[in-house]
Amino acid sequence: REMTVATYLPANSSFVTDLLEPLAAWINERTNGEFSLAVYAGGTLGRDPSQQDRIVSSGIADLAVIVPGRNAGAYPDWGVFELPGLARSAEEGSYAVWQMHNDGNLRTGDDLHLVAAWTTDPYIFHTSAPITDPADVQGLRIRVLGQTQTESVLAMGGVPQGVSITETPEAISRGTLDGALADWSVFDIFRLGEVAHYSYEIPLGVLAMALVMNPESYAELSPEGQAVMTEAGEEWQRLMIAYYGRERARILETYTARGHVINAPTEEQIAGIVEATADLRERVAGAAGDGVMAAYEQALMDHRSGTR
Amino acid sequence: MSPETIGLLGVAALFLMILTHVPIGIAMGVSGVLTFGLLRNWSAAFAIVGTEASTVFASLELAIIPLFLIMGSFAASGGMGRDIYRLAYAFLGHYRGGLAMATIGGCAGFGAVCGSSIATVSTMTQVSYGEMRQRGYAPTLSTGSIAAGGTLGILVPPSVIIVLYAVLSEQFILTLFTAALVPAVLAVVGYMLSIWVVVSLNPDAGPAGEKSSWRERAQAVRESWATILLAAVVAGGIYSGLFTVTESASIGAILAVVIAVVRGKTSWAVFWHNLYSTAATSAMLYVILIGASVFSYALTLSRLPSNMVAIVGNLDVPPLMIVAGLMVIYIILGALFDTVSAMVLTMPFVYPLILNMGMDPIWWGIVMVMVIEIGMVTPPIGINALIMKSMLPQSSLRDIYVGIVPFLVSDLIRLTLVILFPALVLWLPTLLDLPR
Amino acid sequence: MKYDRLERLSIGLSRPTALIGILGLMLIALITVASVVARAVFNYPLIWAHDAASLLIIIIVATCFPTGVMLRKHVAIEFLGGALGSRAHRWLTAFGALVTSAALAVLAWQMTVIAGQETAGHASTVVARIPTGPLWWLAAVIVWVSVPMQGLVTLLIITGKAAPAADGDHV
Ligand code: NA
Ligand code: NA
Repeated sequence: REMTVATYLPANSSFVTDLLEPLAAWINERTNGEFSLAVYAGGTLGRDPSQQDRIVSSGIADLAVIVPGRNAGAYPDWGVFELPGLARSAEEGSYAVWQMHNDGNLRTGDDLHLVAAWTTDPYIFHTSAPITDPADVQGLRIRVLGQTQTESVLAMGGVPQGVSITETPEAISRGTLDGALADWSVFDIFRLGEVAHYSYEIPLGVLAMALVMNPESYAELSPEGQAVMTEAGEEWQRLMIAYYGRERARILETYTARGHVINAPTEEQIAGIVEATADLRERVAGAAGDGVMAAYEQALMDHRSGTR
Repeated sequence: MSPETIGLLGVAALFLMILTHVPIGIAMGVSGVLTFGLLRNWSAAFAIVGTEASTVFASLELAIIPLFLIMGSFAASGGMGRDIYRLAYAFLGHYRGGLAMATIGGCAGFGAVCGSSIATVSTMTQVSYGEMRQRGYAPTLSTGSIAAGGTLGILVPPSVIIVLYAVLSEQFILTLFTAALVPAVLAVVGYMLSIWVVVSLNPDAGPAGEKSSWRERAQAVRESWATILLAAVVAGGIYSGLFTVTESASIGAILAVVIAVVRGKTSWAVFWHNLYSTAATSAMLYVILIGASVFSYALTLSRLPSNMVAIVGNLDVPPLMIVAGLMVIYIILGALFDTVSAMVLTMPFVYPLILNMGMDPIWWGIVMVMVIEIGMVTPPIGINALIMKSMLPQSSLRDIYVGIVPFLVSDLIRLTLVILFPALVLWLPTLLDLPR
Repeated sequence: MKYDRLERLSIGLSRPTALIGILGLMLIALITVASVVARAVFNYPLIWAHDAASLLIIIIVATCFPTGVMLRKHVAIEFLGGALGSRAHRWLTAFGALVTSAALAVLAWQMTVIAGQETAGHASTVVARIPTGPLWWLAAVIVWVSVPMQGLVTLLIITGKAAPAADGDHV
């Protein structure tokens, strides 16, 4: 049977061509014809990013990529990844989210079967004037995504703006925005670098994502088929980490060659942000299940020390 | 049954329902649910209605449509159509055919504050038809210029049809509005030339009026302050980048209501009528959007569109020929029934085909708007002509359609030009470096 | 005769809902203008503006439905009925209206499902975290109200008592 993989990302985006389609091909080679995955990109099975979980849980598509943080009320455990000052890279974040899932420390609900999980690079500042210290954010109008980023920017004295990402470059060039929070891949896709010539790499949280499957579709599979889907989660980690590393190197090389300036924060500055957002952290950790926050911090430490 | 067969059954069900008076949006939704249900399962099929409805209900971008509708209806009841017509008349009235030219100018100006073709046609019928007939204009030229000029309501931004296309194709509204500007200027020039040809061949069709003095012209400018202000704020806001399209629509709607109230042009009856009709038209458009999405998802799953794209792609035919073929199909469809529906219905097939041929979706959007304009004035179902006929019971539908012919020629020439030279559409958005 | 009271009741219900909807729309417009002014003049965007607008819009869209139903504003192609004569035209139009009733009922049912999911998922606005669930319930109720109205319209068409459909059947 043909299983549909829906995504609202365009068919020619590198996420689809370099990750989703290779994974589908990898799976299709191993199912002995029991089933196959077909990718429907560009929103052809549902174009609203915030409805992707519903598309899977109601069976409109068998699989889809979701951003649980978009519906924080429904996936409270996933709120922790957006907290500032924690994960420093996509590799770290992805290791943590996948580890937490495998250890049973991350709930996604009964309506979805999780196949793979990962995170983006951290959301950092890209601005038209240089930032070298959190104090520089005071009064700046910054494009943000979602509640946690809104509060992080407010805590730094900035003015958060819920502008859509597609309007952001124009708003920065016109001066109605001073900058945006974005990871390197969003920075590249939406050409923020053409209008914002400074980046400040203070990690303001990562965006966690998951490839999820309709539980009934999963239950239809033979034990061998289910095993292929489980292995696919590990394969995804390999594909994804290679992809993020390659992409980041290319983006940084392109933009630094053009004179883009990247300022790194000091450890004290990062600690300062963590302290300034203590209330937010307490609330998000409280909304998440018991031990989720601790498991996240432990997984990050494990990854940094290379113990696992 | 193969998915393709189920898809074809779905398309057949759609056309059967359309023939049996089921509204287009409803027919697409029902046929989409049936097709999806047969392809997958029924609970998923019904669930699409829910996910699409919640997307559409929660979309702030779509609020642009009712906002522009409110702006247009209050601009009409606020007397702005008359103002802008008088203004155009003060500068053009003394030429032969000048009243008809003023009508075109009035339509273009009114189109800058109104997003709908129907509102433009009905407003300008009230404003300029009587005046043209009084001055001895031929009935054909009088009605033709208004029916054709009315289509400027959807070509001159703001335009509800352009917003609809932008939402369905996920293109930027601002970019599409900007892309429409050069074709809109071409349309005005083309219609003026049509009038010039008509009065050159038959001087009695549009006798010249008196020349206005510069004092009278200044007076006309002063009296149209409200329309000029509204157009300047809306268009200026959008193109200068001072506001987003949503912000401009908000400001325009508020300003139009305020102006209509301040000028004392709005009775409670008119006020209610504008509100109800905006609400009803919005509900209709929301139903069409939900139905179109459900239908399009179901067709995608049937692989009918992708197979068709592959078949057409394998034909050894130049893309331009395919576009020409599509134009013929749309013009036939537009003669038989409403072209807006034709655009929405064919979108799941035609849009991927256009992208697959490497053509620009912005350019295609403007081409679609111009085809819809033609559909609005061609018999037997030309909505602009039918509206004029219902407003002017003493006129003849035949005269209206005959009067449209010179303008239709101009429409076809412009359509050909835009298809052959996409730069006419794409030059301005590229110049302004708008998002694509 | 007995339909007259039902029709008056339906119109009596659809008018205030449309009024609430359009006033809500004007409120969104005012909030948007206020945030433009706040941004341009005071260099301080209203961060709650998006929250407020995203709550209002759900109700606004729902309130358009009863009016749309009562004014019978649809794009429908009626040339078959036109060719077959007035009796056939009436029956075909009634059929179209009946299918519309069923489709509206499915829409209302699915809106109810969505309202349940939004409530269960603790969905809320981004900045102020105001729950959106209750608004989805209200929207679902308003769409449900338009279902019997559409049924009534169908009956009026069958009995030949329906007023002609609203003019200007597209934009
Ligand atoms: Na217009
Ligand atoms: Na036509």
